[in-house]
Amino acid sequence: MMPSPRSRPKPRPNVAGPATRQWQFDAIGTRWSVEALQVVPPAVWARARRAVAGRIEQFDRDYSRFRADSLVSAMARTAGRYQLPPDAQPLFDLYRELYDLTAGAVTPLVGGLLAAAGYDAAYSLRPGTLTPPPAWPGTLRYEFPHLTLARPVSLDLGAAGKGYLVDLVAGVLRTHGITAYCVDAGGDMAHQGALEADPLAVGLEHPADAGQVIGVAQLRNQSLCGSAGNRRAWAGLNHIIDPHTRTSPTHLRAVWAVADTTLLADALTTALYFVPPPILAAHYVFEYALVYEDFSLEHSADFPAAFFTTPAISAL
Amino acid sequence: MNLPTEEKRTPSRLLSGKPHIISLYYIVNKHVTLRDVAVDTPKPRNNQKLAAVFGLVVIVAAIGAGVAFLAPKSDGQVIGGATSPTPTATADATPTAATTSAAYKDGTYTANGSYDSPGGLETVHLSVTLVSGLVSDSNATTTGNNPTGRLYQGKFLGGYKGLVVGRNVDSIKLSRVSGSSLTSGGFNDALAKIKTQAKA
Repeated sequence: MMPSPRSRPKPRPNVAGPATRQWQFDAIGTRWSVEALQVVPPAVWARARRAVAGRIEQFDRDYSRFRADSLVSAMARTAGRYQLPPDAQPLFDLYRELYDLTAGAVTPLVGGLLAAAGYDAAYSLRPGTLTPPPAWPGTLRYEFPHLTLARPVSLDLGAAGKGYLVDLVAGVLRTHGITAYCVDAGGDMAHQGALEADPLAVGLEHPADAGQVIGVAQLRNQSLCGSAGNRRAWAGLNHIIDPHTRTSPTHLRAVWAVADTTLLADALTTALYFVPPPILAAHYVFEYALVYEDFSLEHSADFPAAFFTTPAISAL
Repeated sequence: MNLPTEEKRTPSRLLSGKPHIISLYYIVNKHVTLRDVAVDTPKPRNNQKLAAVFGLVVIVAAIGAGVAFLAPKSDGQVIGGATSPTPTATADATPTAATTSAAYKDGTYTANGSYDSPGGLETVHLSVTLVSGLVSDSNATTTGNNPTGRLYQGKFLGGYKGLVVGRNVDSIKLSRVSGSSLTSGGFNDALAKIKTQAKA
């Protein structure tokens, strides 16, 4: 049984420290928790909440494939040269790099493929004919702040967009003087603790049983993102589809990445489905953990978590 | 593969497109390329066994053949591979299906793969023990004795941590949980509707 979001463990009671504030809401198709890990006056908290809501709304209006009035929906209708939003550079820079590193497996051009698979605005979840996404070269020319489309294309920024929005929301909190926080969008989160505060204990969900965890990460002033196919799954597919095979990868059941930004951690959870970790480790600083189809575990040496496993396999 | 050039990578051998050490590791973990390997590199000696106990031999053949198949050609370190399936336990003779891990019969399987390391030709001897279709144990030994080779093999095995075991969320003090992204109402409602329609 999948527990409802509300049955998730509540934040640890703050024994010695000041009262914290937590705000939960639904946005961009997932459940959010924005928590201040410090004292925040009510008026400041109210202003910060309004600003966060506005920031998310702006992001959705720019990048959501699921709303007709968004920038990317306009791109899906009309080719040409577009001015990107001011915040677009880190997002598109990373997509461009990962496109090359994963031989096109991580691509923003996957929107049409996801929609054809049934992952569309109406969540029709009925796969139609799946055709490979167009190649980036020849379709997109990216020179920030401009993106030029040779023809109308449906962009999907889901591989990294949510993580990036977590970073942007954290930035909003900081501008309101909230410097100790946890911003969690459905399990993808950024943590910034107060000085000498304990790390955040984050359970790593069992990919086959949402009522269990397979380990506990200790997150301190970093971001943690996870990906697994057990929730957004339909008709043998899930939210990750390999553009080359037009199937969802099945060799991994769950992937986690820890990095300094939620943007990077989120994007790497997708990239790790497609390329061995060392290829990514040559370019980015991150830790990773993978649970394979047979529930075997692989993780980088410094992944900040204690895992629950069968006795260690004999080593060389 | 549109990957960076070899010069940019350090250490280069580990980071090439399909690093053979990584590939070996994936093979132990039944990486998705397993069946591709088994299908694409049928060896006459293995064909009968593939037909007889396909589910079993997929693993074994892939371990041996995979060393040759998955290693980057540009590095040229793969000399050859030989397989010697020796299941120590035998279940019924008719595998149910080769498409799920449940098709792999219990037993211990071994394979040898030879490859050209920086220190010369080396052979890796792999064994994988399956219980109830899951890897319960694995081991690897090598004939190589050069430091570089050992380093690579150490990395390879160092990443394998056994099988995950779940503990109830309620039994552990947690601030948050991370896994598959929580879905809000729309997706769940749509999925429930589809499932209802499918049953009708």
